[in-house]
Amino acid sequence: MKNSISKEHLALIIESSIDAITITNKKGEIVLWNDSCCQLFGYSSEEALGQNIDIIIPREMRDLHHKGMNNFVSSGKKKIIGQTITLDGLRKDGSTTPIELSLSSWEDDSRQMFICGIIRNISERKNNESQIIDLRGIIDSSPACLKLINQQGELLMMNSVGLDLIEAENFRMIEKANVFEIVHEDDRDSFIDFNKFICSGGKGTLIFKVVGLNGTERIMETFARGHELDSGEIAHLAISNEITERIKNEKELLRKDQKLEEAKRLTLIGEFAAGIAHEVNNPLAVIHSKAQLLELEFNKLTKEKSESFEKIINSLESIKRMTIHTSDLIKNLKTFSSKANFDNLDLVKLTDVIDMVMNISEKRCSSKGIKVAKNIDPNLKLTCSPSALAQVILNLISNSIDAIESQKEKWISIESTISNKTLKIIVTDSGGGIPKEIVNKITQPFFSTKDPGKGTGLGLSISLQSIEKMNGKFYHNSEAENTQFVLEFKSFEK
Amino acid sequence: MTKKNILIVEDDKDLRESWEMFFNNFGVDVHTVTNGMEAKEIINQYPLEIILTDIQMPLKDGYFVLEYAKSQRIDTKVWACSGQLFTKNVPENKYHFDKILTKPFDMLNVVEEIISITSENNANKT
Repeated sequence: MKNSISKEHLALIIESSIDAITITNKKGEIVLWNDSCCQLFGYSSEEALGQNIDIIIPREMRDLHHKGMNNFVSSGKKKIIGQTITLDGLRKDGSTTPIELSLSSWEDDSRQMFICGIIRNISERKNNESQIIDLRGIIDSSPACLKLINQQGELLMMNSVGLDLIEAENFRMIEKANVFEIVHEDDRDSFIDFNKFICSGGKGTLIFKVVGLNGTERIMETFARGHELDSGEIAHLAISNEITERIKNEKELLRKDQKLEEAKRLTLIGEFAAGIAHEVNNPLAVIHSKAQLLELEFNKLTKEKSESFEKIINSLESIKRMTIHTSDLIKNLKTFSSKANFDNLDLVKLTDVIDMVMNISEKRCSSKGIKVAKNIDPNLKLTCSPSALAQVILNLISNSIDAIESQKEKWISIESTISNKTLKIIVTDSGGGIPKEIVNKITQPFFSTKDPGKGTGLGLSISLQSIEKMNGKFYHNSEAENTQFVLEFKSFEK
Repeated sequence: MTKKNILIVEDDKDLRESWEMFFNNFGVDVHTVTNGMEAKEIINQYPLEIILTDIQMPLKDGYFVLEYAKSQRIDTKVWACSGQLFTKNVPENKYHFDKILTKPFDMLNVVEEIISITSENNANKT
């Protein structure tokens, strides 16, 4: 035929093929071995020709190969003829290489069968594939959450760490789920805005809270940038880390810092108060004594008690009261100074301390119709500064009186209990407890709910300081039905 | 006006004046000086029953007054009127204040108490 390719041409094509081409007879003896075969397997054509094709089949594959060959030769059934298969090829140096093989067979005029193998070296492609697999491994073994979200907030990809964080068992469970829904509602709007920004090609970081499928809240810090999908759409690709613990620690540290700062500030106030006490108390003594003298003189001047006389006396009374109030303030502030510690604590009967308090406050209570109940173990002795402890309890009772005097039900109870080697002195009144919003502030200096001039806002803060200096605890028990304060001591006898 | 053997040691003019006026109100005349050095003179001259002394004063302070007065006449009562908070007797000292008042205090009460515990004295008798 005119158009048919000559044998010489065919040989040339075979030789110049990028793919390795080899032909064997039905015994498997190599009859053709092109240049690419030489390069791929390391055998020259002189070495290969006449050899069995076994030389390029890895030892463990040979049995399978022979079986297939025999089967094919005897039955003519082509199991792999005509299709492309992937397997390993054996090189002259003993190494193997991944190859793709397609086989074809024919018989020549003398009915002799030949098998042609076209072999492609796919080691590079394999390599790329394994890199992709590695990448997946990396993605999954990353300690961070990796995720891909589209503009609508649908989850396109998430690694196993991410799945753990949002408490999903597998990706299928949440595929295409809306990520916005697992973002805590406080942060949802900012997350939606952030997603919009990233999906328009931006990049940035965001801290937000997620709520897992089981309800666990976690604080996440995310680093995100836009990622173009095959569709051309830009999605939100993010690496996120859980920072719940870090935030908690930071908050704790901040709280400690603030407490320390507060303590320093108080010490400073205390030292300042001690420093100016003398300068303030001297003039106060002058004011107080002069007001008293004026009272004396007015009493002499006016025989009949006119209205304006009463006014003058009342004014002088309030001048005297305010000088005492101011000096008390200075005295109280000095308790904050680091020098004011209770170094000589005594072992005293608790009932003695309580009796001291009751002596002072009984009249005030009964005049306001407040019932006082006490239930104190008479054998209890504790290590304390009796006057300071009395001052603390007195302050609590005084606060109680102010709080409940206009209520219908008016009572105050003082009791002692012992449990877990702890002595508790519990002071309760008929009030309804301290409002949640201010409970953290009540021991802060200068915080007061009383009318201006009525309270200094120092009572509870000084109580706290005093009890802590006696190695005790002082707190408001918000779990009690009524208003309740508790003093705890470890050092006591019975 | 009866002169009593009472001494006020106070460097603040206004307070000194107050003390005098309160005592005068009860018809009692008292000695007043402005510091420990001057107090020494009066202690030397009169058989004082009671001394009310400020603590912080120029020249010689309240502790000097205490020391000197008690060393001259152990029966003399010495009260401190301190502007400092938490003024305390020094345990190591030989003499101790009989009372410590912290300013401001109820001067009227103090004056009444002092008059009640002191006897009438002829100031000229030493």
